[in-house]
Amino acid sequence: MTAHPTVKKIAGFLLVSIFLFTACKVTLLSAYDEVTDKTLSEMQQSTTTFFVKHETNPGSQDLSYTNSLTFYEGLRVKSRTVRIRNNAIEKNKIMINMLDLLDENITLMDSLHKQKPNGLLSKSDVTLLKSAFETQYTAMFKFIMALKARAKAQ
Amino acid sequence: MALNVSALAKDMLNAAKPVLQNFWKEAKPYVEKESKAFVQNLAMIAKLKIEGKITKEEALLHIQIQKNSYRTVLLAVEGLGLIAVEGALNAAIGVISTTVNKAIGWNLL
Repeated sequence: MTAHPTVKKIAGFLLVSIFLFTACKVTLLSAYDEVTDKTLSEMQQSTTTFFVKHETNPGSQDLSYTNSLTFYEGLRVKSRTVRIRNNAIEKNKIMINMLDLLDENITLMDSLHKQKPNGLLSKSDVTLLKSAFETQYTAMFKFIMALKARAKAQ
Repeated sequence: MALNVSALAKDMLNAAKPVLQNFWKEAKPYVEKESKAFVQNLAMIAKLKIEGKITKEEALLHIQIQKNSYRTVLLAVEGLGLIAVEGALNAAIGVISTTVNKAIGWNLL
C-alpha cells in the first residue's frame, strides 16, 4: 500500500527541514573584525593619554580647549571611519549602537570642554569623564574579545 | 527507528543550559559593578551641581555622558548574551544532529 500524496509531501518537508536544521549552524551576530579592534585600541590609548595629562599636570594651559582641538578632531575622525566600516558588516547592530554612543560622548566631552570659562576641565570633570570613557571602552572590548574567542572556537 | 521527541528535547536543554548559566554567572557581577559606578557618578554630579561647582548645562552634559556609557555596558551584556544563546543553540542542534543521523540512518553532516 503506497502512502497518500499529502503524507508523502509532509514527510518530505519534514526531512528537508531536519536536513536544513541539522546541517546549519546558527549565527546571530557579526564576525570579529580586527580593524575595528585595532582602531578602538588606538582611540582608547589616545583618550587615556588625554586624561593622564590632565591628572599629571592639572590646570596647565597646554590642556586648554584650544590646545586640545587636535585630540578631539583625531578621535572624531577615527570614530566616524570605524563607524562607516561597521555599517558594511552584517548582523552588526550592537557594535553600531556602541560606536554611535562613543561618538556622541566624544561630541559631548568636546562641548563640555569648550564651554569652560577658562577653557580648562576641572578635576571633577576629569574624574567623571575618565570613569565614563573607561567604562565605555571596557564594555566594547568585552564584546569584541567575546567575538574573537567565538571566531577561534569555530 | 522513531525519534523520541521528549528525550531529544531534554538532551537539547541539557546541552544549552550550562552555556546560558555560565553567561549569567559572568555577566551578573559585571552588571552589578557598573550599575553601582553609574549611580555613584550620578550622585557626584548632583553634589557638584548643588555645591555650585558646575552649571546646569554642564550637569546635563555629564549626565548624558554617563547614561551613554551605561547604555554601552548594557549593549555589551546583550551582545555577550546573544553569543551565549548562539552557542547554546548550536550545542543543542549538535545533540539533535547525532541522534537524528542515527535514527534516519544516513549522515546529514
